Amino acid sequence: MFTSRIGFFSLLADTGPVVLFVLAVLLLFSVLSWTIIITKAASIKKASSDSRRFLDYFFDVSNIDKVFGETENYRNGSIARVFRAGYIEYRALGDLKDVRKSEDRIARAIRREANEETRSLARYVPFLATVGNTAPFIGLFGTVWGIMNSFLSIGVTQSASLATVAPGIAEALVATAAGLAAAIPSVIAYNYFTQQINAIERDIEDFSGEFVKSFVNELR
Amino acid sequence: MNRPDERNKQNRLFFSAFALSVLLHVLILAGGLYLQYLSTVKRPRLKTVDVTLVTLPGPGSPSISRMPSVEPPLPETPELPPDPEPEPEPRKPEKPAVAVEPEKPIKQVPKKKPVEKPKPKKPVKKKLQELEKKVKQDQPSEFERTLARLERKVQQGPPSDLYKRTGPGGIGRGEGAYGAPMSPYERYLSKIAMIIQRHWSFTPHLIREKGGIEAYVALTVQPGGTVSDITFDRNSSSRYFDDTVLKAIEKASPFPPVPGEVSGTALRIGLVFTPKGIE
Repeated sequence: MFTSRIGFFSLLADTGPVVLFVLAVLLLFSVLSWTIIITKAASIKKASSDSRRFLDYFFDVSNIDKVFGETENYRNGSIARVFRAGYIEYRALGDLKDVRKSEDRIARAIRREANEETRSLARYVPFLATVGNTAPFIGLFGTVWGIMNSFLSIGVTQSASLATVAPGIAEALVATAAGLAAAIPSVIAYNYFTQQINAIERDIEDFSGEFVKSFVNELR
Repeated sequence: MNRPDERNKQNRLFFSAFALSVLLHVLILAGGLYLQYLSTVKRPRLKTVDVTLVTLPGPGSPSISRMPSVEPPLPETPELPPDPEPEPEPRKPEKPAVAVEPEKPIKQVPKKKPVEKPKPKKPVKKKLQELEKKVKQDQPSEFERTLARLERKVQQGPPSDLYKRTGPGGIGRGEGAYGAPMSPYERYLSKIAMIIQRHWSFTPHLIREKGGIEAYVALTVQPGGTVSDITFDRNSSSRYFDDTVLKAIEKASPFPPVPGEVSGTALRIGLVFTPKGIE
């Protein structure tokens, strides 16, 4: 395919099946991690921006029914969803006059929704950490295997010249390069998403109490 | 909020992200392939630039200035005079042909002559210029001159008696005198040649001309073996080749001491270096 033996892709032409398998695994890892990166980047951005806008609206308007009507516009906001869950529970109370019991039920509903939100935001994110941690090692495995083979070829050809050794080592190092290429974006994205999810989680915790209080005030 | 709807939405987002990711990887791989293709397309140009002119000395190169015996402007001068001469000749017979027939017009002839004289000069000049151009065109090119020089060198033979060998074959190639016993001088010479050969390394690919490369080097070996007064009696046409020869001699020195049976004083020896070995 290539007249020149210099270059990333011409190196692949002579690699062994193990190194090729390692490269295929790393490519799959990379594709999946980028899929998760794109998905999470979109959903987390939407969740945090909608939550912020909803909170602004919530503190501007004191009427709970009005706020609930407006939550449709902030469907992706995590805090808006938590509020909706609390409101639905508040409406389901019906004629229950016991304020403490009502407060418990609303608080429980809000906590449940908050957990669900956190779980859905953090879904697939640990895979990024897995790729970040294992991809360099998988690449290293391919490299070790390739270097092993190149040393074997030195024994077969009985020549330790650079021309004999260098291509084998270069082929083997492709695996490490691929491993790092898969791992670096994954680690960066994992750290960023974890920090963003933690921030949203903290916001939900902080405002859950506020929501419960507003529903209890309505009951009184 | 409707959970199944939410799931469907998330799944749709995931699959579109997967497609985008695959596309991204395909684009990166295609970009890498294209870059490699570009680098392979550009590489041959570098090769042509790399062709050295070390072995083809031009008229202004120092290797020519080192060779005093070679100066070929001689063939240019003999060609010029014979060509312009025959031209004025055919016009001279025309004049007597006009002058012989009538007697009266003889007086008119001298009047016409001064008018006619400048006329033939111009075409002669023009033709001279044309001839000069032709001569210039016929002149050998740099390459041809170099080849001629090499041929002359080969025909000339060794420049001095230092390079005459009593036995056939080369020293450095291990060819003896076909069973004939070697003289102590020859033995010492072959020893030195072998030592130099061991220290001599050059890349034959850097020399274009395969034939006619010979460097005649004379050097003085002191009784102790130290080398002095290395001179090129005749350079090869490749400066690179000459340099490698000089380096080899410098690396190989000092030589083993000159045996007493060969010479009691400093010994002046001549060696012929060719790409095949030392002779």
